[in-house]
Amino acid sequence: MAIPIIQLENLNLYYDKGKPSEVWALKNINIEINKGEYVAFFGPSGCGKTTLLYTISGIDISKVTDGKILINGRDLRQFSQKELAIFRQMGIGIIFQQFNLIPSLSVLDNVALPMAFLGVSLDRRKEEAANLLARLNLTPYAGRYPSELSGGQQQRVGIARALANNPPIIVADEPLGNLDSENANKVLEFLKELNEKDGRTVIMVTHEAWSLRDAKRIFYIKDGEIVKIEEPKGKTETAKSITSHVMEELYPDITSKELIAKSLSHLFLRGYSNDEIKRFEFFLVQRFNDKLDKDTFRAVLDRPYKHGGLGLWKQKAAKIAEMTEELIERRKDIDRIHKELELNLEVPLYEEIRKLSGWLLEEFSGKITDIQKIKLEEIVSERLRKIISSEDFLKVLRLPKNEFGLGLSLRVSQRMSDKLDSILGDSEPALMQ
Amino acid sequence: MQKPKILLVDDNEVFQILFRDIFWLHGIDQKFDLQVTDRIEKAELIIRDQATRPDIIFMGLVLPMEKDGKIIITPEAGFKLLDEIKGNSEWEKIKVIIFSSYNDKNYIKKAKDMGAYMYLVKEKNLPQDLVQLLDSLYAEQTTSVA
Amino acid sequence: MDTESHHLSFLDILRLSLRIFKTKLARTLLTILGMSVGIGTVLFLISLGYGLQYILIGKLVTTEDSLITLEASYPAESSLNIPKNKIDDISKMPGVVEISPEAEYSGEAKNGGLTGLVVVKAVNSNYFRLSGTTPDIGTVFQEEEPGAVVSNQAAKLLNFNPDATSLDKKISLILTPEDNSASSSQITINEPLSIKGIINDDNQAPYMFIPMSIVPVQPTFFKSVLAKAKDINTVSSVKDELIGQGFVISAKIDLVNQAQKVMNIITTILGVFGIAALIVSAIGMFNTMIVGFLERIYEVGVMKSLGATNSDVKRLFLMESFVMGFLGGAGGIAIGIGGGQLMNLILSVVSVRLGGKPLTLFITPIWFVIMTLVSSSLIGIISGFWPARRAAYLSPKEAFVRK
Repeated sequence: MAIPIIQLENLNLYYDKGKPSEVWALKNINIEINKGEYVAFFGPSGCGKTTLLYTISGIDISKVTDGKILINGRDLRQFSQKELAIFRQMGIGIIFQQFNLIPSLSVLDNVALPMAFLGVSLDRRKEEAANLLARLNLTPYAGRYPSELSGGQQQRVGIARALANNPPIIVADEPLGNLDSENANKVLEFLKELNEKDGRTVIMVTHEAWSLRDAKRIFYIKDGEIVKIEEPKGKTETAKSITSHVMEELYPDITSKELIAKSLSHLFLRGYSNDEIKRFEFFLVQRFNDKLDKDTFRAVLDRPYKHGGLGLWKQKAAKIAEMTEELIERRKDIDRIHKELELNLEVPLYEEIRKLSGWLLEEFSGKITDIQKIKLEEIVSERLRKIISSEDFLKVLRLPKNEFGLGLSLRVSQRMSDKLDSILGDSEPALMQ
Repeated sequence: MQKPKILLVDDNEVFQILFRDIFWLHGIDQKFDLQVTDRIEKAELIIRDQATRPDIIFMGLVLPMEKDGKIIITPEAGFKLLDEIKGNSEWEKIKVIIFSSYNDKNYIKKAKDMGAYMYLVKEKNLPQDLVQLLDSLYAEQTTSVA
Repeated sequence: MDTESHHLSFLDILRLSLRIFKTKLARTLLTILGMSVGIGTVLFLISLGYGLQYILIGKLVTTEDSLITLEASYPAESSLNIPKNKIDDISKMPGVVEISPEAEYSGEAKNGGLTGLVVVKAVNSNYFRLSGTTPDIGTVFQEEEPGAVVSNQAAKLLNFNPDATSLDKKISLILTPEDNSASSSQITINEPLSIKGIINDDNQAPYMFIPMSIVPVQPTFFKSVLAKAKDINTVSSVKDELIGQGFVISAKIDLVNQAQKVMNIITTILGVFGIAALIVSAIGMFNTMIVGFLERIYEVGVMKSLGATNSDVKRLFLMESFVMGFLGGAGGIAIGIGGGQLMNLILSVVSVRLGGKPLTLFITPIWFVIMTLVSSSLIGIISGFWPARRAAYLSPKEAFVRK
């Protein structure tokens, strides 16, 4: 019986050890992962799953205070800086939630980059990178820059890059969080392929239960500890049942209503920050417990975040409110709601902003710089979250470039603003400062 | 059954780590026994001893060699070792693969003429290429009678 | 063994560093431009300094030999002349390779009916070479071809035009020696001498040079003697020796040294400005590098998580700043030399229009160009040190975990 490819023994990690802000992030972790397994680290944000992942990847092991990180029997903690760099080059391929592509390099160069660190010649790199892009169906985009690609495409570039030096271990840190339904499923399929076809060991870190469907073993993590290891028995178990399982383990004192709220909040608010999701959970539970009536709940969804609400735009708020009512009035049961949300994943915020920005730019026939694009996405985001009003949006569109606006003409700005308003549908001015 | 042996002769520390790590990461250390040295003189000793004699040798060309009391770094070293191996009836069966940083047509021709099994240029080879090569070498090694 | 392999190669680092022209074009160009203008200005000024020095010394040192030649004479107040045997002694001195004595007479020069009084200096033909006296019009006389080299005042005195039309015209001479001997015996030059050359000299009384060989009575006392030293290092020992013998020495080399001292002071001042300019551009470069670094913390983290080593990242930043420094220097050289050449062109056109020779006022020595390039590149590299070190020590994780 071969030794496990990854073995963690009594691993302990502290942030700011010795200082008042000390955090015991990983507590006596013991894990064994075998070669060719597909496992997941699942838990709420801040539980330490990401820290665990980066420790295995050799990215941040300086804060480990005791224990061993054994990869095929060798302890990373004994490695010199040089050896660790080589391990990161060849041993692990990382896929990030934020894609983390280098914006000033073309797609092909991004995929080729890990090979450059090994000193491989330019033509060999380009050849291999082209092969990888072909495998991920990205060949037409080889010469483009990351900013020109959609979220799903960028993530696939990230996967291609992770494969560059043929690592036996693939590590994915919330890879689907910024992807819409179609792309999320594509990426999930790719990860499965990497595991089943290539025989690579895959570790996925996630807080969205529906993404666990291909994992053979799930490690549930809470507060830096592994509370449970589960092997789901195939397709019969839905994400919902996994989730409830999990929640019961993670939060033994939880009521069933809170359980439902927790499982739904992530699905409703994909791509939102942890604070926003927590707040939503709170209000949802309040609504379930009838502490908030229908209209007040709706108002909360609309109210800007700064003023204690969630600042959701009209359609989103309406959809959430509708589904909530369906649950409360028992028109649909929780399983059904879950299924609907999983089959048609909510477009994550990031992707929503990109799509809207792209759609608005159809009004403008000229050339737009990267900075302008970023600025536009910024103000669309603020508009969606009701941080700025329709007038403010228009103002920034017209503001000259050297004053950090977009410098667009009145006609174009008006058209774009009107277009956005038609989508968002609210005419109430946002409450500022 | 004893595992076939591979000897790496290279004086670049980083490359030694890289080569070793490929064995470690991809489980090739289950297939081959790997030994690493940085000098042709030491390599000679390893080959001489039947207990440690490798079946396959990967070596660079430009290596340190002792000449006239001084240590110089020259492709002569690699060719000298290659010559010794191929010139010895007991050792000539060892597969010698030149794995060098130099993409020099003359070196390549000379090495092949002297009986090198392959000539690989370092910068043209990715880890996956090496893994593939080692896998096929293993298949050859285990199907043929030693 | 090559340490280059299995790291980010030099070429790749260069290619990666050239992205600064793509992503931050304005900022990069401005930084380089700032350095170029600073360096260019200094280069321009120093070229001016060099040009002036060149012209000045060129005027002083007309022949090669005149630099290592001394003129020895007895102090004017003493009214002493140098006897022949003394001249011979001087010629035998170990450091002296050649001499040219000068005997002075009062002369009555005649051109047709016109007579004028001129100072006549009888010399050998090597006098001109050793003293660096060159006629502005015409040439000097040779041993085989006797003639006279007159000052323009002398020419005018005798009603000759002080220009080329007077060459080969004849002058008759009667000489009166100026020595202490009581005899005021006059010496008549039998053959009239033709004018070979004219020297423009309005600062002295009319004079003329004639070959010593045509004076029927060879002089036994001399006004002064030129002594050429073996080489430039022997000059001062010969000078000291002669001073010890009571002579008064005038040497071109002293003038040159003084001129050079002045020029050096000017050049040093310009150099100070130069350093100030370099410091200012270095500050600009530091700023660019620091700002660039802060923006790239994310990118460094990503690269490190992909396997870039600390030294890879360090070299990336150093290469970027080196490229900027090098280009700043190259741009400065282009501006400085270009500006100088342009001025040379303009001045030459103007001076030729006014009847003079083309003027080269701006000269840039090659070693200075190389030094500029090297220092600008060094400044580039140095300004990259801080971000390179900081980047090298960033842990991959802290760099890219962003809010």
